[in-house]
Amino acid sequence: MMEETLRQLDIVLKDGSVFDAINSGLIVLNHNGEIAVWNKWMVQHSHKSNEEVLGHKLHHVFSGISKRLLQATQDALSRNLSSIISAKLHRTELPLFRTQQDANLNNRIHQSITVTPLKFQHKHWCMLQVRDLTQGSMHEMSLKQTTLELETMASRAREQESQLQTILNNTLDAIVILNRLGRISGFYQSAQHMFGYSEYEVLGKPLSILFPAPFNRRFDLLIAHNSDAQSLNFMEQAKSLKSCGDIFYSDVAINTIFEGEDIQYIVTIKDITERQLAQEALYHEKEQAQVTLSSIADGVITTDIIGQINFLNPAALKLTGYQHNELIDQRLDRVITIQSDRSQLPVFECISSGKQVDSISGDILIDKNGQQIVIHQVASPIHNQVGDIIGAVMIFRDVSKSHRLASRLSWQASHDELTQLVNRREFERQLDQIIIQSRSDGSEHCLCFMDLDKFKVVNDTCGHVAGDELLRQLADIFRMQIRGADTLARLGGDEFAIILNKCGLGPAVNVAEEIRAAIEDFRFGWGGQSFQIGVSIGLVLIDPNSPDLEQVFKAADSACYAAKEAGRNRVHIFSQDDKEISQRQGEAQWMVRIQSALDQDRFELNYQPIVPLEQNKGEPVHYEILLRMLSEEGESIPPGAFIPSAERYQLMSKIDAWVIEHLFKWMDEYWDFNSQDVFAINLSGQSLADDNLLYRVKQLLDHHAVPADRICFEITETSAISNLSQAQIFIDELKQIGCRFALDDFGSGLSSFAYLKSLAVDYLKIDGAFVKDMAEDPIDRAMVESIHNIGNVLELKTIAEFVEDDLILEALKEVGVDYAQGYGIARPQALPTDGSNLLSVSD
Amino acid sequence: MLEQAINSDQTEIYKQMTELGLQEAADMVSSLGQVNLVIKAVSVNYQDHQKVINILDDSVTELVAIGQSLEGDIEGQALFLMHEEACRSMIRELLNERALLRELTEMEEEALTEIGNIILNSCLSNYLQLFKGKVVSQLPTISKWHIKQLLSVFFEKNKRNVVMMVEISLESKYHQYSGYLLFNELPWHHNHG
Repeated sequence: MMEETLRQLDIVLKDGSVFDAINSGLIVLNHNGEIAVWNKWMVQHSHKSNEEVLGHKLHHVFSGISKRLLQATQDALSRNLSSIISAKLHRTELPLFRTQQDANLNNRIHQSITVTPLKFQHKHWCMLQVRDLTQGSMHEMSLKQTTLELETMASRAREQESQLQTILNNTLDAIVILNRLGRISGFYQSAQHMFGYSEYEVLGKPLSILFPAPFNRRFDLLIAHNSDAQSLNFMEQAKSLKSCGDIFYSDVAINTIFEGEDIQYIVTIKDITERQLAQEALYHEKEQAQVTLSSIADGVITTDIIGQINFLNPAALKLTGYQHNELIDQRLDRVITIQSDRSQLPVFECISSGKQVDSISGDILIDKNGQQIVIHQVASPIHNQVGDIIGAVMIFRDVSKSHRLASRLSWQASHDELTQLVNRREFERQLDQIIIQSRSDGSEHCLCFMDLDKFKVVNDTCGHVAGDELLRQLADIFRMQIRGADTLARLGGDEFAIILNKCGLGPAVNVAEEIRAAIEDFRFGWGGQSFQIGVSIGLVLIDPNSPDLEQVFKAADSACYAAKEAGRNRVHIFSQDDKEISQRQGEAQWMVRIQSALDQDRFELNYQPIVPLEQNKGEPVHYEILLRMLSEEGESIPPGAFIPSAERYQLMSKIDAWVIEHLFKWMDEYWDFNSQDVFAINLSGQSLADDNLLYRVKQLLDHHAVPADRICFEITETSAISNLSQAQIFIDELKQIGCRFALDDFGSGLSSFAYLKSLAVDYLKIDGAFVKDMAEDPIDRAMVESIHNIGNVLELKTIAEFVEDDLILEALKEVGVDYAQGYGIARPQALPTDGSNLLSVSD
Repeated sequence: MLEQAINSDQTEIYKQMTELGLQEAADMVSSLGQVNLVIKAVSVNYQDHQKVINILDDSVTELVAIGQSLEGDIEGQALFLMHEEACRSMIRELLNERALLRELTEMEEEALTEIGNIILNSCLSNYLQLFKGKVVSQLPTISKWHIKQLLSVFFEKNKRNVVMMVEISLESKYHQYSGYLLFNELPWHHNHG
């Protein structure tokens, strides 16, 4: 049985048709490695016939066979080991082709080969089976390519997903993903940060947990009503609710995203707290601005870049007289009329220049009713955020009143209110112009300086009202004497001046004389009394050689003073060689010296006893304090040398203050306060009018604890009368605290004795002019007697000055004068600073 | 019987034969692929069932086994074992392909089978020089096994208690792979059993 089977098998094998039926390559190698079987498949795919290959070794049929195949066949033939040669590692081991075309192109079949040992005829043969794996290989390549593509896509998708995650996690807005049912399925970092929930805490929960009522219900309903999965595109402002309970303003947007059949919602929540606060702040600012603009008194109009009005406040409507609808959206220059010196309205000027325009001059607004209103307007450009001009704002106010006031003030600044004449400042300005003009064109002009004579008499007698009326009347008289081109001014007090324009000295003298005569002839009536006033006039020529304003003024002033000194009521022409003027100039130098002496304490106090005469024995001695000035070299300068200058330059008050202060100091240091002696201090008229000095005296009395009744102030009759009201106040104030007063140089003035009643003095000092000759001159004696008698009547003690010898002393005793003073009694001496006593002079 | 005591001389011969075989296999494999591979015997030992399990680490999922059966005067089996992940990495490195697919394709499996076949044939060829009987090896097959399943079959098949286990390392320029050869019957021992 077995033999039969083997025999049949042998026949079959020899036939070879079995091998040809196999749909793969079959090569059988005999024990020598020679090809014994080469099936049809191999013939077809190798393009080698049986005749070509049978009996040949494989590596003879195919050159370039790999080491692996050779090893495999060897392992099978010698060791009976099976091998597999994979298509993957070898791909196209043998040169086998599907078609001739493939053969031409050398497109080999991808093949795997198995090598298995065979036992045939007691010998070791082996069989190689070749399988075509081209399809499989291509399929695998395709699979791998697809896989690669999928992997690339997946990689890109992952990358995009990662990028998306990064974006979603880093966006400032909260991103929340809801599933179809409106439950939270995604809660990114921004949302976690914004709401304070972790992802874990909110997943699966409805959106409403992030919003307070009524928003929570609103959003839930919105999604619930979208059950038919329509596209949702929702955006609203809402309040959001943090996990800690804080509520904040937010913009909420809900959109749908479709993923195939499924629907998701993407909710974006933007925290607009800052924006809201900014809006509220802006609203408040705007409201505040509105309220402010509505309530300010200035008119505010804003325009666009072409001047079209887009805003007016109530004040603007009131000032212009128009209604809102008449002006809004209209061009400013077409509805509002403003007269101005400018070529265009400030609004348009500022728009074109880009700068603020301030119309300083008084522009005139014509309101709806045609009324003219002087306005001050300022226009400023309005810029947008990038700095472009988008319009202008005009702010304006009615300055009619202030304009009138300013005009008036301007007039008042240059005019004397009482007389309506030009004042000193304006006069000096015009004089300066005249001087400059004279230098430039060679013209001649004259300056008249006029000082009224006896003006104080009227002022003091009738009061200031009368004095003012007198000045007004005199101003009218002056006006009538000058031309329109001339300038008449009141310089102050009773001083006037005239610039005679383009007038030579000769004609100026005539004009000055006429003025003088007019004033001389003038009678002022007041309170039933009639007063004659005079005027002293100084005249100065202004020509190209004139010095500056100050010098011209000084010259005129000096000329006027010279007129006064020459007897008043006259005209004096300035000349460089003028002696009176020289004297005046000398006085100016004294002013500097006196000031310097005051600053350096270069004064010395002297005293001269005033002794009581017989009937006043036992009365305390008086000591008149006399002043000496010391030069810088230490030389003594008598008062006669510097007092006139001091009076002229208003320094007497300072000198008197110095005397009082230093006397009290001396008294404090050296004087026995138990003594009853009295110190007589001279006071000038200027001091009487000085309230500061009055206060200072009281202060010094208090500071040095000087008994007020030890002090007697001497004031001249003339200065008392010249400053009557001030003298009265001064005397009354100090009398109240105990000071005494003496009327000095009594009898020398021209005033009425009636003044004595109004001055609460204690002593009358008889003018020395009457005393010094009374022993020989009966008239002088009569004067002394008369004055003494008046004193008696008025219960005033009398003091005689200039008592130079015993004869006069005797005469005084006979008259009954109370006190005597003079060289015959004692010469002036310096106040002792060595502790020695003052002179004690007996009768 | 393999479990019979094997003396040290015999062990040493098998070690040398194994190293020679592995070297030949490395040369052959390197000539096929684009990667130079060095295959070395790390250890050659005789292990029982449990020890083999321990060495192969049953915590790992599956092993890939390329096996060749021996028939004739010796009935036994030779296995080339590698962990699946290592197989994928190695074969794709040899083929210079990106490791995208988690599973080996059929053709990749075939290529891996050839690698195992080369290694086993190289070792067996050296072992058979010492054998005078008639043995035929079948074509290699590739399969995936859990370790315990594999070993229970392997040990049970020929009722073996001890197998020869060769731990090998396959080193390319950038990687090193571990593999194992298991023989539950060897020509020498049968011859001299």
